[in-house]
Amino acid sequence: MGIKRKITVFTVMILMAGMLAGCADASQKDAQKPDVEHIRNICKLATVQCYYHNVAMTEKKASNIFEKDKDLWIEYTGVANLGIDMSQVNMKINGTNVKVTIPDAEVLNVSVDKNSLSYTTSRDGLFKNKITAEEQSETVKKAQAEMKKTVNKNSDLLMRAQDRAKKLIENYVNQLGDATGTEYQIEWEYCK
Amino acid sequence: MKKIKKQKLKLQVCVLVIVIVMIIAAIIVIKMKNSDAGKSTTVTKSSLEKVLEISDLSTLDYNYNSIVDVKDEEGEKEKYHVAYEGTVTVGVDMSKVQISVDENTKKITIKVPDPVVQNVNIDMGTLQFIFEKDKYETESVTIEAYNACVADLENKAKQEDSLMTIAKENAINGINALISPWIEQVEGKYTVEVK
Repeated sequence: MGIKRKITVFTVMILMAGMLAGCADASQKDAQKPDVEHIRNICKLATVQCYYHNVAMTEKKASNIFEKDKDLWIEYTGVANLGIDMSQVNMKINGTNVKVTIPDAEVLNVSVDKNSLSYTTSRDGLFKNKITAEEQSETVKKAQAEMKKTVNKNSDLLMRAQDRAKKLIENYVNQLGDATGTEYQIEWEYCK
Repeated sequence: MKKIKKQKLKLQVCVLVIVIVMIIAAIIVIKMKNSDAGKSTTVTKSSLEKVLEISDLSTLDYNYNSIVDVKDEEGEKEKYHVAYEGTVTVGVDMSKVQISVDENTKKITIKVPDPVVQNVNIDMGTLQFIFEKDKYETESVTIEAYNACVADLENKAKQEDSLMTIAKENAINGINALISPWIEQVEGKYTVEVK
């Protein structure tokens, strides 16, 4: 067998092996199934909802001389709910005196406002410097983490959330008092 | 003699060109290895737009892992599959809790409102993709995928009939636990029902 013929046969074998590997990958995809859901009982009172305008800017360096550095800016509205853990609220009644122990307000959850996401990118060079899907999600994830830090540092907002929680509980206690014709005096204590 | 000289000169030029190309290639490789080639950095800015006062008592978190198949605009071809983790929060509006008294039967009824889905949250850091073709990995794919995941999770939550029942039971239990000292105080004078 001549050298040229040997090379041709070898190349065909490599191509066939590649095609078979692709079929194996496709069959593995069908094996994917959704994971199990999980229900968790909670008792959180959200009293303040904050809307933040967030801009996340990612710069990806070029990998070779034919690419340019790439910028991706993602703009969206982030939502942070502040409030208290109601399972830590304790009420003690002594005659008409009510002592309510209440925890500090905290950031209960942060989320991305649906349909608020938009993006802008810079132009590519001769070769495309693609910002991958994982890099895009990582950009928003970092922005959310940063937003949560910002909210946690805002003591005014946290104080406002706690004050509102106190108002709601006070209103509730007064309604209970009205139901029985009792005027309760509320004393507040704070969890340590 | 002249021919030999010409050939020698050609050879020298070729060798010189090869050496120059190799030096340039080496410089480029060294530069790329030492630089931040391919690395990405993120800077974020947040500004507070508005603050709303709410009274959402959340009593249930529904955590879900799933995979969404995203199709093209015609709804025929699958573009990619995205795996995600998300949470649906269900609860009641605390400001709508109603307290009523029936002096005839000496019964106090505390009516808890029906629960609603308060929040649907997809954890962006958990999104993972499998693309049918490389061209579908566009620069807006995460935005499209996020909206698809939110819609999927909202749909799945609607199909779980038990969610609202469990959320309401938890709200009733939570309020009962909170006012149990008060119930003990009025016991004998009134019966209290939280429903």
